[in-house]
Amino acid sequence: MVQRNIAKYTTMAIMLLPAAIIIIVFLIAPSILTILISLTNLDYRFRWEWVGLSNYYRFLSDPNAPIFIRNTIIFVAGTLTFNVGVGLLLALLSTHIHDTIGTFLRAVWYMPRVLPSVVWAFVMMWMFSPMDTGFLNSLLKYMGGKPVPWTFQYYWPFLFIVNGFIGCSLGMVIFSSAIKSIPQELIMAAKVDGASGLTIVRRIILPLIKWQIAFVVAYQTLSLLASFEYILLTLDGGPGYYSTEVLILQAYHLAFGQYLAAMRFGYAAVFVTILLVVGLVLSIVYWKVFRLKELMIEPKLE
Amino acid sequence: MVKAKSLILNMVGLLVALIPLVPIGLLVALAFSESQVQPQGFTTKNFDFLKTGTLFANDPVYSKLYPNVYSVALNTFLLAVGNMLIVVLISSMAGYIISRYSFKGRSALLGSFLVIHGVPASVLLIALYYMLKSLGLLNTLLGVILVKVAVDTPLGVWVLKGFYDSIPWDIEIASLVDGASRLGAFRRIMLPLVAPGIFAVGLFSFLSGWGEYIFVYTFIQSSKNWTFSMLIQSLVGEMGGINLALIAALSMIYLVPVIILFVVGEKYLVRVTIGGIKG
Amino acid sequence: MVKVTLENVSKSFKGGVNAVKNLNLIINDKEFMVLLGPSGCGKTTTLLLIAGVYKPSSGYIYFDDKIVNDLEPKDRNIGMVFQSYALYPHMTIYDNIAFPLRLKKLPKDEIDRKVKQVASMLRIDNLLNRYPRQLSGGQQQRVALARAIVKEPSLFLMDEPLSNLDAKIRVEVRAELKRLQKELGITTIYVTHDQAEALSLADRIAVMNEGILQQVGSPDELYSRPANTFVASFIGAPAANIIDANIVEEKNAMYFEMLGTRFPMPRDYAEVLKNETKVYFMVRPEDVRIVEGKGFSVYSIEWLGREAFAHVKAPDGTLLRVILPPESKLTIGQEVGVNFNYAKTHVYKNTGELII
Repeated sequence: MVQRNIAKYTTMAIMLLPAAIIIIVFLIAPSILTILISLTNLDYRFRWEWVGLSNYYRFLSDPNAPIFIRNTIIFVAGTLTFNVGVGLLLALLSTHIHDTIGTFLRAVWYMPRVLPSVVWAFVMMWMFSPMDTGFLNSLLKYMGGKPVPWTFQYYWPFLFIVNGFIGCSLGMVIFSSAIKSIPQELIMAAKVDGASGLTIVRRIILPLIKWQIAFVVAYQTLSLLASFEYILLTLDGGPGYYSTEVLILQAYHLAFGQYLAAMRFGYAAVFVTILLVVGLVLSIVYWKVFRLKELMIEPKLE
Repeated sequence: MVKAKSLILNMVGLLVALIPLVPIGLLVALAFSESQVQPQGFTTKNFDFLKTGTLFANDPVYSKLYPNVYSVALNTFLLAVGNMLIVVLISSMAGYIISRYSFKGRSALLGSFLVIHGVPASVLLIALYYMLKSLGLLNTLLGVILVKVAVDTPLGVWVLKGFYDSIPWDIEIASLVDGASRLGAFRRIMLPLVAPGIFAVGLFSFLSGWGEYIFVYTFIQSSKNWTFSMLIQSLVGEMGGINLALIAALSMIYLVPVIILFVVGEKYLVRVTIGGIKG
Repeated sequence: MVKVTLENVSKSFKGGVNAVKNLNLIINDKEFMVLLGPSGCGKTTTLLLIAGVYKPSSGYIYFDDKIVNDLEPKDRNIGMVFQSYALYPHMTIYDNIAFPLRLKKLPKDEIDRKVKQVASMLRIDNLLNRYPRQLSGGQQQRVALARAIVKEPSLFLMDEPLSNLDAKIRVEVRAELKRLQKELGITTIYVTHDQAEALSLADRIAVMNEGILQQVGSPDELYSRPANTFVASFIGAPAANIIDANIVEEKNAMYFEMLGTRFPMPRDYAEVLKNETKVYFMVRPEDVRIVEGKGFSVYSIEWLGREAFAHVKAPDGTLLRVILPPESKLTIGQEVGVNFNYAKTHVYKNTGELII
């Protein structure tokens, strides 16, 4: 009896431990470490000195803090709208046309997500460059118009587009699969009752995929709060003084930026800790709200 | 769905489908362009660096500033393959245990994987920098690989657990009765049956490592450890307004495995996205 | 060939589910034992306990005289057939059957010989290179059987192996299974919820309900002398009539007061039922006699070729199930009287156990 149990627990340990260890060491430990760092004034000297909550007070009195917060809200709201809106449109469109075209459409729109970020950022920056060498501008010049300062003036829409093309594919894929699993009979019954295409979408399809929409909104809000890769690669917080600098980007600049004021790990950690806490709280809320526990089925073997 | 036979809608669909291809097409055009900033004409001179791997071979100053393209390619490959092998190995094992064994804290463990997956890794960069420095793994590809593995594993475990869940219990019981030990059943029966899942997770983590930028940018300082993403971004910084065609050409080389793998495995990649999330 | 003994075996699962409660059962060597009962009665759990996939929460399981509670399934030398067949989808039929032999590390030519032998015994030798998904249900089931037989086990365990087959094939396969078992002489424990299947296949049947063993015996014993009302109503189709009855004594004569009227009690019943008041009276449809009389009326009648199946309405409204010879010329609404073949009827206590 004991022998059977020992064998069982050894197997479990060997197979589960590598994943557990690597996650604990490189994901859980750093989370705790981040909070600790925010309580120090760790910087380029790499000396560990506890300073209590002084970094947090500095944050509260930082004149730039409201700018970062405002930028974060604009960024998250705008990109989320693009993501969910375009995702829905693509899902609706691709499920109402010929299967082959629909599948092709979804495959192509999934591609930006797979591309390396630097390449996507490069192409977007070139296309929307405010200089004469930018693709859109050279096209405009060719047609006799004047160049437009795309990224100088319309930087938020630009960011929404750059991030949105990547983000909308999540919604597109989830919504398409949800729409496809709606029983055909419901749609046919509605048509027999005299509903037009648009009415069917509004009254039947959308209500039936409410859960999926809510889920995508919740999930992407969380990931957008701490998303900064494409902002870094394209506008790097500009143009000008912190026009598109979101919280997480400021944290990154403080810690790893090129300015002399960089490597201020202690202070940067404050920004990140705030985001971490918000992220954790939201995740746990989602866990409860979406009743994800029901995804678990008890195993049958022993 | 009741298909709209409407020709218009199908045309719209086709046009919409082509939109994301526009940037890619422009990139290709630029890579073969005779002009350095416009897509114009056709030439292959932008790809001259492929002969030796040295960029700016004719310029005595610039040619020393950048690492050899082939060594950069190797680094990128090592990062991608390293991530893929380790993630597949540990998530196929962990996914099996979580799917098939009952133990205290199983729900909590799975739940924590989901929570971890939801919080982006960008919040941990500062602490990770400090940790890697203390472990002596800063500026090494190994350090980057380990961090990448940690980030990709929760998703891998979730996806593979889903695949294991879909194998009927009867088959596993049959193999035990036939004389296999649990490990033998895992090796001979379960693993082959989750092969599509392993392929999907492997594909996903390879591409994830191949395209990685932030971790490389943050943790790696010396250019001999650069990957493609670093090389391209550094060129963008240096000559983003001048020699775009060269960057485009480099990008195309960088994209070749991505496009091939995407065409081969797009369905699997989509499954990973949904599998890690769908409720 | 092995004798299996279960001694006070109980099994409960997480969440407090008591699947098997204090089971005592002996399966004799070479016997075909059927575990019969409705869904959730614990029969599959019992089978998996014997297979070693589950461990008893308490009690002992013996193979011959050896306690096997802690023996791994792979060391128990059993062959198992599942309702879903559980064939390995990624292997050919040949590899499926050869699998247990390969695990035993037998030499290649011996494996080849045994596989081909079993395949021809079950007439699937032309399918060896195919994959499970290319086979019909009946063929898959024979492959599952082959895989169980090829390792020459001392015990067969079968979990509703015929449930997924078409009704017509099922009857044929049933006969073949019975013949095969007799030929191979391997102790067999067979789980099903189909009482007709149990009656036709079993040497003995163990009826279970809610984890508790109700009765063990030969098909005939269970049919003609059920130990409680559950077994009485579960075995036999159409189901037996189980009627609420009061025991009444009047002027030194005893009566069954049931169905809204009175039936005089035969002497042997009267002796045993003296002290009872409320009981259940059990009579099978074929033991109900339609006679000239009043009070009962024919509610419905179906002619089934070999016999006729009727519902007869009693004075208190109860519908009695009755089987009649095919020539009986009854009409709907016809008024009749009813009598019973008391040699075959039974009376049960209020709590369900048999009195007589």
